[in-house]
Amino acid sequence: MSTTNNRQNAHASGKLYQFKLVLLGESAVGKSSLVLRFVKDQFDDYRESTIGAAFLTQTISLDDNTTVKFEIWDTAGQERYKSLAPMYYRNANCAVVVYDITQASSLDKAKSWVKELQRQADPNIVIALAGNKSDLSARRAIDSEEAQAYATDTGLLFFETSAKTAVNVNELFTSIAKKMPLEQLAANSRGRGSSSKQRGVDLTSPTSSNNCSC
Amino acid sequence: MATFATDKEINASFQQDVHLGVNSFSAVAGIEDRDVVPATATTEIFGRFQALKTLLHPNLCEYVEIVKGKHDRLFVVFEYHMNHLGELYQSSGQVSKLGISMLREWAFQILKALAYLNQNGITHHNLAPHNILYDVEGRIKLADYGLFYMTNGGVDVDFPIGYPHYLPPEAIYRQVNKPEATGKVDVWSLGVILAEIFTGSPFWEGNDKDIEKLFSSLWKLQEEEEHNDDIWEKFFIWELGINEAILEFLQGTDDDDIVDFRKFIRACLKVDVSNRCSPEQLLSHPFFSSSYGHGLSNNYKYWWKKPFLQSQQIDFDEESLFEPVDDQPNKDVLHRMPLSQIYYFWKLAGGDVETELAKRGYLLSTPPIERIPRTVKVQDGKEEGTTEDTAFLFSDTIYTLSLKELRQRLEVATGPNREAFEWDTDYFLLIDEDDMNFLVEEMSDNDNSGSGDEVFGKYLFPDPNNHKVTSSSTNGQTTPPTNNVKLPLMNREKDVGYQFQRVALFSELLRQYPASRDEIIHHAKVDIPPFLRGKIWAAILGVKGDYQALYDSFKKETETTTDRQIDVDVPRCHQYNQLLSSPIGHEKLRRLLKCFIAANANNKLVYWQGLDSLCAPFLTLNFNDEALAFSCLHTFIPKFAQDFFLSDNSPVITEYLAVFRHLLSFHDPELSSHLDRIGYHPELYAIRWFLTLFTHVFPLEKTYHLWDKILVGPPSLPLFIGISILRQLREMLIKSEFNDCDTFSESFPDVDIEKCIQSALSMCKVTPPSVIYRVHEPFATPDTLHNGVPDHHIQRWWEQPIPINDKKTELAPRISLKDLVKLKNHVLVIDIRSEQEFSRGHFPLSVNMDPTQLEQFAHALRLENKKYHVVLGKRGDLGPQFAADLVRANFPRVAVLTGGIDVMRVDPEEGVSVCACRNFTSGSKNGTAAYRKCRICF
Ligand SMILES: Nc1nc2c(ncn2[C@@H]2O[C@H](COP(=O)(O)OP(=O)(O)OP(=O)(O)O)[C@@H](O)[C@H]2O)c(=O)[nH]1
Ligand SMILES: [Mg+2]
Ligand SMILES: [Zn+2]
Repeated sequence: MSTTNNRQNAHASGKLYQFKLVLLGESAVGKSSLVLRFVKDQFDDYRESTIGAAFLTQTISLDDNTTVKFEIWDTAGQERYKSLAPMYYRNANCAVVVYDITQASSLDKAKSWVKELQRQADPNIVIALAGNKSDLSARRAIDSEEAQAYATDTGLLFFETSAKTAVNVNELFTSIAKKMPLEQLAANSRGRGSSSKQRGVDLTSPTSSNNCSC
Repeated sequence: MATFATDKEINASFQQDVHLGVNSFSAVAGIEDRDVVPATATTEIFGRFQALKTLLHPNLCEYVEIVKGKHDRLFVVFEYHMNHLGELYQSSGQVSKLGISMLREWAFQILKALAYLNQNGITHHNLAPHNILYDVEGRIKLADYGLFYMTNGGVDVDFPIGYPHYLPPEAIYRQVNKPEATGKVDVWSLGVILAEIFTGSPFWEGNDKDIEKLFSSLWKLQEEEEHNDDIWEKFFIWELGINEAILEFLQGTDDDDIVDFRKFIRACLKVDVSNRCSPEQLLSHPFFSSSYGHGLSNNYKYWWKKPFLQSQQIDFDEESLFEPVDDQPNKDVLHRMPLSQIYYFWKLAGGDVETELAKRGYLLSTPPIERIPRTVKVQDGKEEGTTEDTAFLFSDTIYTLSLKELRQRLEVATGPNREAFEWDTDYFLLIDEDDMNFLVEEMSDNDNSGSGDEVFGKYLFPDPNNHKVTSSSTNGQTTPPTNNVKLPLMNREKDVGYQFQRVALFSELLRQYPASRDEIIHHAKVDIPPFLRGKIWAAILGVKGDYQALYDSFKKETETTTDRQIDVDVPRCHQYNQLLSSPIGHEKLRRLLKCFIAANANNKLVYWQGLDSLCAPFLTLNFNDEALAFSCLHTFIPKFAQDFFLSDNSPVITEYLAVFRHLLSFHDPELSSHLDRIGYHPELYAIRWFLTLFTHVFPLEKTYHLWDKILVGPPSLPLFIGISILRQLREMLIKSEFNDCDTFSESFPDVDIEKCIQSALSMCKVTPPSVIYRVHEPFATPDTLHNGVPDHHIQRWWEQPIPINDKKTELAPRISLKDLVKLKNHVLVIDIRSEQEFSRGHFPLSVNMDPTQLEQFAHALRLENKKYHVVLGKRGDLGPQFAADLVRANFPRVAVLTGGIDVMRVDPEEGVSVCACRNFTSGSKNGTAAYRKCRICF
């Protein structure tokens, strides 16, 4: 798989699809690290924690004439920032819910994010579950099988990733791109271009839909 | 109570003829088998070293700084004296003639120092004749006593610590990685050294390099000890390679003169650690008993002054040998100056330890050192022994730094022809003749403001016309004469002459704190000398009283639900910083955060991610004074981040960001409407700006400069800094669509902090306070918005706070009538009511137009060429929407008059009354009468 930032090329060779992707998950599971690996192919032991949210973009080519551009919202993991999350996932097309394979509690947190997305987000949202830090298998606290079973039951894509060694990171994002109903969305995104209101995130009363009970 | 002069600064006056010495070593290479992000050994040493800087004892050389050089080589800078006990060995035989009283004096001072180290949890473990120095007055000064401590008992380095000939058996055969060493190790070393000096012969005979023999002897001592009470009386002792002279002395029979001395040495040389005394205990040994006691500490003065000899261990800086000896030390510019300050200035004058040592060939030489082959380390049943040469890792060669250049520079800086610097107190005051200055206005309004504590509620700025300051506590330390040298901030910080003057000024002021607080603030507005930044900040913040007791009073160890979050954030907080990335730094930051939470439980403040970053500047500036760091944070938050850390902070943050957006419209309507159009709202990028007051955005070095100004500026300054940042990136932003705006998420683009501060201040000056009014502002009173409304007054419609959702959607801010009146000649008031209403009464000189006709009249409005545009309407009309249209049409400084025409009728402001003239002129040439202008002046 190849990644490219070159929009010109992407346009010239075929169709460009744009998706809004949001990352959710407990603090320090490695959301920002995954994004950094995907966007810049770097890893940083001393990455600062995320406050509020961070926005990045990355473009990948699926094949010669299909290019997908992700608008990525990397959110803050601390529970307190939870009320901001709807602002980022409300009109997201896809989501990566991340847990840390060495932290048992982080999978529970991931499950509750999945529930919230299924209840509050766009019904067609494509969700992937990522068990990160697979390089630390010596300290593994969550079985792959268990997580895989949960993902299958819930209809999620599933990968064990490592932002540190880059294992499965591009695979994760590529499978998401492949699972997107491209044609259907293409129609939407053509309409979207003209209306700037549709862009970015939804700032209208971020707390109004925050009535989920999980 | 809280004067911020440390013991060291007071002590400095006693120091004379001190040198700065440097030596260097490397830590062990990375430890691979840790899966947690490893703190490298270098970082660990760096962190542990910091505590050494706080040690203060008359018989210890002060530790000044640790510097990390290329390839992680560490350089330690410390107080150094030219003479040491090792020199006595060259004149052996003579030594016993020194007399017992001399040895008693030395023993006593060394033990004092060792006992002090012990109290501070430090074992020397490295004691040898050549690192027992003495100063010009003959006072003992131990050097190199921190190596064992800072390397975690030697674990962090690949070379052994200690000189085998002076180490006791248990130090050699101690299990590696189990540094259970205590001060008793040093007691043995002291015994050996004193016995050597007394007898004039080395303790161990034979070749220095015959380490094997030495080790087996020590081993034998250790073994035999188990079966023997008093090993020194035994026969086998003669077979261990100990010099006969030493043994004869130890076994000698009573001789009145030295019986106590012998007993003392034998007490030091107890092989069994449990029987050996600690330094503390030995201080009460009969050797020091009162019959000799009265002589201690004085009778040796100047006794040992002699031309020094260049020893093998010391590489003198040739130049420094020929530095003229100053007969009148008071004339020395460096006299009374703390060593850390001397070192700081030395660096400013161009000094750099690494280059300095390289110049003198240090990096080429691999000095021979004695070393213990790192003894058997048993790990998982495997035996590992290191045999390769580790000499290059460590050198106990000491280099002295030449202070000649620094003295010359400072003599110029303090001499009669010194450079005079203009201390640009006008920084905050530069007045554009043609414009407003709300800061100055506010200041004169508050002339009779009360104590300095109010300074944050008001804009207490110095009077532009004279340099008198509010407090008169200093003696002649006011603004110095000026000429026209104006240096940019960054140059001022690197100018040794300038910094010398600044440090002198602030040191004096700090000594007089808290009385001098106003004056400190006054001078801090110019700039803050980095050397004293931590303390100056504390003084500005008004930290007073027993802050240590305050800090100690909070429980910092109790487990809480936020612990996990703190634990994952601390190792991610500014880890490029040497202090914060050290394990000790992590512990300290964690404790500070937990203390803050405990201290604010009643204020309902909680830990939000970001508080760690906010804490970082205070911790790095006061690394050895956690209590002070805490008190700074504790006074800072209510002043600058009031309620940001409430568990439900969203009303506060939402309002803050709404005001930020208004302010952007006010000062850069084009950029504001562009960002608004592409949907790039402050919520998406600016939360971390304000929540952490930019500490999560900039590296610490930039944050310090930003905060230097935030601390002495008006509370709204951070908002303006935010605007300045956007405006520095303007060119890029204005071309961007939403997707291109990912700049802010990444490592921050290059922002020039000095320019940023300057433009923030100049925007701040021309911004009416009501425009940035926040309900959640610290010290907020509705007065800011509705001046002069009596308390008993029934609330008018315009006195209700604007619902937050309206405030959030509106693009332009509101302005109060009071502020509007001050704008006088600079403002165009645009009245959007009907013609009839307008003719019944209006704001003098205002124009009247139909708000839907902006396109048609925009040109006419622009011709008025005013700096401010205020929309006047009535309750519930289109004022805010019309103001937004004006912003989109790129009109500068647009605001809506709070209360519209009603406020003018009900609460008239002095200096303006409703005009009821009918003497309008039409601004429109094409016959429509839709644009009218009042011609009557105020
Ligand atoms: N070993 C290992 N460490 C990782 C991996 N991914 C992230 N980390 C580390 O885990 C820590 C947290 O990573 P972040 O990317 O900051 O986590 P986050 O989910 O963005 O955290 P918040 O911003 O607080 O929500 C960092 O110290 C990373 O270096 C990984 O794949 N393997
Ligand atoms: Mg993150
Ligand atoms: Zn009039």
